[in-house]
Amino acid sequence: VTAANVWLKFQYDRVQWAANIVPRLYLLATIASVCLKIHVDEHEEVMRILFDLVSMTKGVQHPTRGLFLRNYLSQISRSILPDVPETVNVQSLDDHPIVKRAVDFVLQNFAEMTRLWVRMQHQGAVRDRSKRERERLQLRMLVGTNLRRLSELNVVSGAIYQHYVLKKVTEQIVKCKDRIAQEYLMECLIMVFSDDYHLRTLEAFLSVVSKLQSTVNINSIVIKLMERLAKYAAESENALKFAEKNIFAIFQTYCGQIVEKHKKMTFADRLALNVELVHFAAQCYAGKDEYIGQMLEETLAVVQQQQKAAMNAACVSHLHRMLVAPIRAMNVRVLQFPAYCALMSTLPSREDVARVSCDVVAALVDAKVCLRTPDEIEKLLAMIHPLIYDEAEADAARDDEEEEQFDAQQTLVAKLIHLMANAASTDVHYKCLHLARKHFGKGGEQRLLYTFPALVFNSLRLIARVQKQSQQQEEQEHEMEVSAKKMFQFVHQICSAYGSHAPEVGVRLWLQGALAGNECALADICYEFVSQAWLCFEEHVSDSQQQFEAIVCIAGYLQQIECLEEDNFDTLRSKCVAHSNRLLKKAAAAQCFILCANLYLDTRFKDGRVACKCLVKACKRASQMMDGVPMMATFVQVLNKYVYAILNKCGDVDYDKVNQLVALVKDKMQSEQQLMQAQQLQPELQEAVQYFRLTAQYIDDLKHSNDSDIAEAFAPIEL
Amino acid sequence: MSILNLFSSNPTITLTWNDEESLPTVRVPQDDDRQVDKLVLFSSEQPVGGRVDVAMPANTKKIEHMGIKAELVGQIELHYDRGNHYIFFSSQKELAGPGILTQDMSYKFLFSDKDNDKKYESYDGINVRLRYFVRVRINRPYSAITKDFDFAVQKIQPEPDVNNELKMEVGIEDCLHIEFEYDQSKYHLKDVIRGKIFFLLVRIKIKHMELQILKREATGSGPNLYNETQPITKFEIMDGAPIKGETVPIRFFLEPYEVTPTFRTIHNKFSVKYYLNLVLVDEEERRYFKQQEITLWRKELKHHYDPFAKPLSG
Repeated sequence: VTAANVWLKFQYDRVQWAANIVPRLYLLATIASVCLKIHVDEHEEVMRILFDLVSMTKGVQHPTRGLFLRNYLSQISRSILPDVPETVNVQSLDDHPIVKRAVDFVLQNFAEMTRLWVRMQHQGAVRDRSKRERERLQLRMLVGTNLRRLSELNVVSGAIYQHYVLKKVTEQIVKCKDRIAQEYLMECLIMVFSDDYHLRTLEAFLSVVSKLQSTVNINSIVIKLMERLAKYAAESENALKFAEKNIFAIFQTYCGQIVEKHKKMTFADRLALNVELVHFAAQCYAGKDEYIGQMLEETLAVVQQQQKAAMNAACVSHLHRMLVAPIRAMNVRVLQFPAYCALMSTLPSREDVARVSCDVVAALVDAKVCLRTPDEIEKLLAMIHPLIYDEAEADAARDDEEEEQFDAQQTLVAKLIHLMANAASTDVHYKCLHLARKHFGKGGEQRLLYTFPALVFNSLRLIARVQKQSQQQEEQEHEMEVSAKKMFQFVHQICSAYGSHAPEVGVRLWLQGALAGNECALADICYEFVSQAWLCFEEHVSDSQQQFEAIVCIAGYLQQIECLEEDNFDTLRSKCVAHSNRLLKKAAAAQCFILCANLYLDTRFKDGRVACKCLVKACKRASQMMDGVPMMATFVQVLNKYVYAILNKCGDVDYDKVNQLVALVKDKMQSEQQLMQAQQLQPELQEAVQYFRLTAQYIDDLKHSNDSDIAEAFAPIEL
Repeated sequence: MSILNLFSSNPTITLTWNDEESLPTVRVPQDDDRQVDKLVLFSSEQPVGGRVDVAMPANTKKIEHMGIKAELVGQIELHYDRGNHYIFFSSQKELAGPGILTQDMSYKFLFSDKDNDKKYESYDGINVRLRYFVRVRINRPYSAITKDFDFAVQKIQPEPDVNNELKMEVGIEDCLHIEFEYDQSKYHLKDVIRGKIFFLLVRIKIKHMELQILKREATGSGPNLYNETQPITKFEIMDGAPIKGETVPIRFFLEPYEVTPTFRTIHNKFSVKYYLNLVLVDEEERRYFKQQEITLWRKELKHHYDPFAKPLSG
C-alpha cells in the first residue's frame, strides 16, 4: 500500500463530504475513474468500486441529471471492465464470477437509465408532451450506449446473450411499459448484436415483441429484424445456418401471434408484415416457393376481406412490394400461384395496376427470366392487362408526360416479348408467340408499334433455330410440328398489320424477314418479303427523306440476298433504280444511284452495263446540284465507284466518261478554291480536295501496279 | 504579556504545559470570551501538569505573599445564571509556601490519579459551557493574584455493547409512505452513517431530500429550562422525484462536522442530544420530515479539523 493509494482512498471518502448530491457524485465518479485506472488489473477491486458508484448514483432520481451522470459512469467504466480474452467463447458465466459482475454492472446501469428515461415522459404538464418526447428522443443514445457496451464485451458470447443478457435486457424493456423506450431499445438490440445472436435467439426475441405495449410499432421492429437477417442470409456463407433452422416458419408463427394479439393493428401494417415475410422468404429461402405461396394466399385472404376503399396509398405500396419481391427468387414460377395474379387485381385503380405491372415486368426483365409456356404468358398478360390493352373508352389523347410514361411502359413490354422462349420445344415457343400476337393485336395501333417489331424479331430468332435444328438432326425424335414456312406466314401477318402503321420501320421489318428467308434458302419467301417491302414503300412512304433512307436500306439488304433466281432478283433491283430515278433531291438520288451500281457490280448476277448507266445517272444528278462542294464530293465518290468497277473487271466502263469526270472534278476544284480564296477555306472543301487527292493517288498507284493487267486497265485514265 | 501588566505592580504569571509542543489542540469558537484560538487537549485520564512562571514586574523589588497554589477546576457555566458557576470538581497543589518573591520563579505542578478526576468533556454550547482550567493563585494579604489557564478535555468512551439499527416506516396517508433504515443507532464521531430509504408510496412531487443533523441542547430545569435546537448540517441525499419502489442510499460522513458526543444530564445542569432529521422537500417548498435520535460517542480524541491542512498520512 503506497502513500498515493492511501491518499486516493482518503480522497474517495473526502469527496463524499460534499453536501450537494449531484456535484458529490460527479466528484466521486471522477476520483473513482482514477482509482479504476490504478487498479485496472485487480478485477475484484474494480468491480467493488463500480458497484459502489452504481448504487450511490441511485440518489439522483432526476431523470435528465441521472441519465447524464450514469452515462458518465458508463464512460469511465468503458475501458476497464473486466472481460475475457477475445478468443474465449464463454459458455457459462459461473466460470467467470468477476466478469459476470461486469456484465451485471452494465445491466444494472442500463436498467436504471431506462427507468429514468421512461420517467421523463411523466414529468411536467400534459401540454408539453410532444416537446418532452422530442427531448427524450434526443437522449435515447445515452440509454442505447449501454447495449452497445454489452455487445462489445467478449464475455457476451452467443450462449451468454441467449441465456443471460437478452433475458435481463428484455425484462427491463417489457417492464418499462413505454412506447418510445420499447421501440428504440428493441431496435437497438437488433442493431448492436450480431446476426448470429439473433438467429439463435429468434424465438425469444419475437416472444418479447409480442409482449410489448399495444401502441408500439411492432411492425417496424419485426421488419427490421427480418431485413437484418435477410441481409445476413444474402452473404452466401451463411445460407447453411438458414437451412438448419426454419427461420421463416418462426417468423410466420410469431407474426401470426402478433396479428392475433394486436387487434388494433391497421390493415396497412398487417400487409407490411406479410410483405416483409414474402421478402424474407424470397431472400433467405429462395428455393422454397411454398413459403412465398403461403404468404401470398394468406395476404389475398386478408385483402379480400377488406373493402377496396380501405386501400390507402400505404396498402398499395405494400402490395406493390409484395408483387415485385418474389420475382427475383422465383422468376416466373410465381405465376403458378393463383393468389399472385389475384393480388394484382385487388389493387384499387387501373393506374395502380399499371404502375405495379411495370415494376413486375421490369423485375422480370432484370432477372432475365424465360417465359416458356403459353400458360405463363396468358397468366402474366392477364395480370398486367393495363399495359397490354386500353379500357374501352379510355383510349384518350395523352399529354406529354403521359406519352413519356406510355413510351416507357411499352418499351418494357417489348423487352418482355424478348423473354419469351422455350429452349426445349420450338413448337411451344411458337405457340407462345402466337398467343402473344393474339393479345398484342388487341392492344391498339399505338401499342403494336412497340410490340410487333419485338414479336417479329423473336419469331425470326425462332425461325433461325428451327432451320438449324431441321438441318442438323433429321432423325430427331419428336417431329417439329410447326415448320419454318408456317412461321414465315406468321411473321408475314404481323408485318402486314404493322406496315401500314409505321411504314418506315415496316419496310425494315419486311427486309429483316427477307433476310431470314434468304438464310433459310427459301427463295419464294425471300422474294415475297422484299416485294412486300417495296409495296410498303410505294404505298406508305411519302416523305422524301424517308424514301431516300428506305431505298438505301432496301439496296443494302438486297445486296446480301443470294437465294433468288436472276429474274426475280432483277425485278427487285431494277425497282431500286426506278425509285432512285424518282427521287427529287439531287444529292439523295445521286447517292442512291451509286448504291444501285453496287447491286449490279457486287451481287451474284453482275451487269456492268447497267452499273455504268447508274454511275452516269449519278454524275448527271450530281452535276445538277447547286452547291459546288457537295457536288465535287459526289463526283469523287462516283470516280471511286468507277475504280471499283474497273478493279472488278467490268468491261463496260467508258474511259472517256471517267476522264471527263476527272477533268470535271479538277475544274470544279479550281473554281471552288478560287471562289473561296478571299474567305477562309471551308473544311468541307478541304475534305473533298483531300478525298480527291487520295483517290488520284490511288489511281496513280494502280496505273503503276506490278500486276500488268491492272496497270493496263487503268492506263487510259488521265489524271 | 498584556500591556496593562507592564505598569502594574503585579507579577506576570504564565503557564507552560508539559510537552506543550506535542499536545493536540482544539479550536475555540470565535465568540468565546476567553479570547484564545485554541486550547490544548487532554484526555480524561491524562495527567495534567506543567510549569508556572512568575515574572517580577518592573520597578518592583519584592512581593510578599502567603503562598502560591495551582488549582485544577472543572466548572459549568450557565448563561442565564452568569456569575454563578457550578464547580463540579477541583483539586489543589501548593507550589510555594508563604514567602517573599524577589526574582522570577518557576514552579512545576502535576495533577494525576485522584487529583485528576475529569469526568466530563469540555463543551461550548449556546447556553452552557463546561470548562476546565488550572488557576494559579498568589495569595496576598488583602487580595490574591489569580490567573486561569484553560484546557480542553475529551473523554474516550467504550464501544457500545448494544447498537441496533434504526428502522421506521412513516408517511402521510395516501400521499407519501417511506421506510427508512439507518444501520446503527450509535455512531462515533468519525463514523459513517449508512442506510437507505425505501419509497413505498409517492404521490407528491418531491424535489429533493436531505439528511440533517440536529443538535438539541437542554439547560437548566424548571422555569429556567432552555432548549436550543441547532442544525449542524444539511446533506442532500436525493435529487429529483423518485417513484414507488425506488430505494435511495445514504452514506453520510460525520467526520467533517463539529459534533460532540451525546451528553445526558451532565451534573444535572444540561444535556446535549443529536437527531437525524430526514427532510423531503416538494416542488412547492413544503417540507416533510422525521427526526430520530442517535447517540454519538467518542472513540478517539478528535482534533480540530482544518480543511486546509495537509492530507493525513498512514
